Amino acid sequence: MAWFRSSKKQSSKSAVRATPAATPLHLSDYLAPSTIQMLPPGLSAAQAVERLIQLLNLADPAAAVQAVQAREASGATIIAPGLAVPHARLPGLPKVVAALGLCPTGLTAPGADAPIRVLLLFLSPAQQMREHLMFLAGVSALFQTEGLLEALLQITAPEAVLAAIRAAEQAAA
Amino acid sequence: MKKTARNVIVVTTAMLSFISFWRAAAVVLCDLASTVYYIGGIAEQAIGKAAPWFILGVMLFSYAVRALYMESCSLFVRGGVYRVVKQAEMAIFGNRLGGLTAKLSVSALMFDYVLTGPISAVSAGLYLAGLLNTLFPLAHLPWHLPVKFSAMVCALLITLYFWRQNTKGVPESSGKALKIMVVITVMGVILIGWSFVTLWVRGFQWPPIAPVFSPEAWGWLASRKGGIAPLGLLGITMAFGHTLLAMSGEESLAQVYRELEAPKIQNLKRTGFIVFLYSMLLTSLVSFFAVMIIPDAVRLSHYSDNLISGLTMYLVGPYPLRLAFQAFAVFAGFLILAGAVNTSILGSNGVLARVGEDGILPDWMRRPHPRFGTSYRLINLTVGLQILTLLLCRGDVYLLGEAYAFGVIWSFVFKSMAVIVLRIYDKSPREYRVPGNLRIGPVEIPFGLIMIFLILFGTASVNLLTKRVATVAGSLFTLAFFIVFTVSEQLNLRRKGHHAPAPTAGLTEHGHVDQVNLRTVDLLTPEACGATKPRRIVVPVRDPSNLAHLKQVLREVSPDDTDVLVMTSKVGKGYQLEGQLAAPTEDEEVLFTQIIAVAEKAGHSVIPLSVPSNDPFYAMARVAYDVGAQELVVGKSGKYPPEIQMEQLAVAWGAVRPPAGQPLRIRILWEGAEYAEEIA
Repeated sequence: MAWFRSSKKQSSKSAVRATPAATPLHLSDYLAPSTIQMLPPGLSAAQAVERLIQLLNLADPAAAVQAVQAREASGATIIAPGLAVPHARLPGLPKVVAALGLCPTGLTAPGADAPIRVLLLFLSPAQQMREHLMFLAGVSALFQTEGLLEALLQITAPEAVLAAIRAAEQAAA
Repeated sequence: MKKTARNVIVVTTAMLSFISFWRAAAVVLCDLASTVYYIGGIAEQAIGKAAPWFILGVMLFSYAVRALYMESCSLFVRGGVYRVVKQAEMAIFGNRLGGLTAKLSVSALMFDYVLTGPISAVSAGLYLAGLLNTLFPLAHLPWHLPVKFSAMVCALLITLYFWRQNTKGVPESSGKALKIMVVITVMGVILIGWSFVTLWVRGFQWPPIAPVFSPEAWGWLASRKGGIAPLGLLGITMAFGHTLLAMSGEESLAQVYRELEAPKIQNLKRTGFIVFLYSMLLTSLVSFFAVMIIPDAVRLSHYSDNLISGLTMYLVGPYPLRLAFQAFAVFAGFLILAGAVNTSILGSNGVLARVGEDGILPDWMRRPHPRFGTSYRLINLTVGLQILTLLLCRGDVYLLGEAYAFGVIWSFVFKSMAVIVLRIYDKSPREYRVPGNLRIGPVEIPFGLIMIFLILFGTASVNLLTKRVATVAGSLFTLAFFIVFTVSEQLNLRRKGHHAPAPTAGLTEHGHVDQVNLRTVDLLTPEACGATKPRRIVVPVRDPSNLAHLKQVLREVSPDDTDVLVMTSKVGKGYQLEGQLAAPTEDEEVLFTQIIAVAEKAGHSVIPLSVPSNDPFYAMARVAYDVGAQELVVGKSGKYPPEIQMEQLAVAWGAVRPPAGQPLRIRILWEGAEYAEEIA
């Protein structure tokens, strides 16, 4: 496993890099109107994931579905009430890809405390754990924006969703 | 605007500070080296002009006793007499004796501590009164202080001063101890140098080796003195016993070990060596010079209580210069002797705290001062007994010296016996062992330890017969303290329903739970929780038996530039960090105790925090952000694999920090492995 290493090899002090303040991650850079979909009522979260994966034009969508399901089996990633971020790391993927599904009536998800109304799916290259984590942290930071989630659920056009996300990102910066 | 962690509890009791070996040596020397001011006079009154030889012998033997303390400290961070003797008793008898030997040994040690304060304070008063009585005629003042009474009043004032200081809490006094030792070193170097010049100018005679015992020094052996050769085994042991208080203060090594910075054992070795060399040179040389320079006619009659003052006045050179040097020597002596009073209160407080942790003292005795957080009732007990002693002795330093040796020698005897027992029963590896171990086939005989024990036990036994004041006063005091400890322990057991303490996972080697002082911080900031260093590492902990990641962090980082904040989440009723906090739960107390023990063992200070939260990942990230941490180091979760744990931390970090905030390095440590990522 690439992320595993012996603690003896790297001391805490030497490992700390003097990284300057980071450039904020922009979710809008990973989304396009074609990867944003208004989901019909009555779908389960698992079905919604399959639909969103179809939007990404992957070489092997079945493998992606399987990877996301395997990851979800270890526990769903709920960033805020109603916002789930199913994800997985895939070998051979060149870069992080993402798709957004909106369902104001809520998706059925077993075990979820609240109905899932926004589903942000992303896949990242298996070897790039740092980027994977940065994406998660960036999304988590973005959705701390007060009212963003509710605002997105009011919108029906993918272009307008993307514009709302861009506006939120600019406001946060 | 981002929220900030609220109502965070900072465990102030555990904010230990650790000191260098120089400072540790200074603290021990403030006790041990202060004897130079009175040992010569007391010993010569008992055994005559041979006293310096025996003082030299005692100081050389202190090297062996130092080794004894080093081995016990390598076994236990709080490796004082009580802990070591109790462990040894448990090793042989289990719970059957109920800590009888430990209670006896600590009772004897308390006698030592209770007398250390008064003998030092009275000695300071005697030197001051002696100097003033020399100065008054020169200033044409028709005054003459009653020396002993003045010494007693002065001693009472010193004791009350340090009682107040200790009640308020002496923040960390090693810096003052170091300054005192610098002054004493200057005084000592001048005194020794000037004494050599004096001997070179006037010529000298070595003191006789054979002791000449005073009538009191024979004690209950007076009727048999015709059959005891002064330089026979019994005679030498008697003389050795009369000078043994020269090495009183070794127990401070065990007390200071807790505060010694990493690497602890190496630093303890350095501390012990500095203490040995310094006290050996200063105490024995000054004792020799006193006998060789001050004329016999005046030495005991005029200067038995302030020998160094006498020495300064009989050095070669102009009178005003000698008088000025006497004033300096008295000033230096006043500082170190007063410092010894402080050390005795601190040491006694430390010993009583250990005893209290074992349920031998009532809980209310250990309760921290509501304002200052000090164990003021234990301080009151020690100082109360010291004041009583001062009033009873009425400034007679010889009487105090006679009584003093009882506690010193018997606590050493118990300690050496216990270390031998532990060597036999506890085969766990030690970082330090008393040398002189003979291996015969598979059996190792701790010859060095046995020799130390035999010398100590022989001396203690002879002292019982020759030092009547010590035997009577010491036995009564020890018995009284022993009865108090035993009754108090029984009352405690009865009050708690005879419940044997349940074996709690993760309890320290001491087997007790520390009582901690808590401070609520309204808004968590580095300043509010006492973080002052440029680097900050947050280490969340939950399970007291799983602190391996904390231990690793403390091994890796330098206490000079890094604050380690150890946090635990407390499940609150409200959302996120708005939960209400009450007093720590029993589980939290155990956790804090273990954190303190780990920090003590590593010699690295930590800042323990308790944070209310219903989401531990969020709480970790929140604290890391609020204190401006560069690193967050967690142990491996039992619930999630490390990569999912890392994802959850990334989500939490994203939730608390601004979009373009500083990066955080997150490390997950487990079983010698590490998974680390830096997340911006």
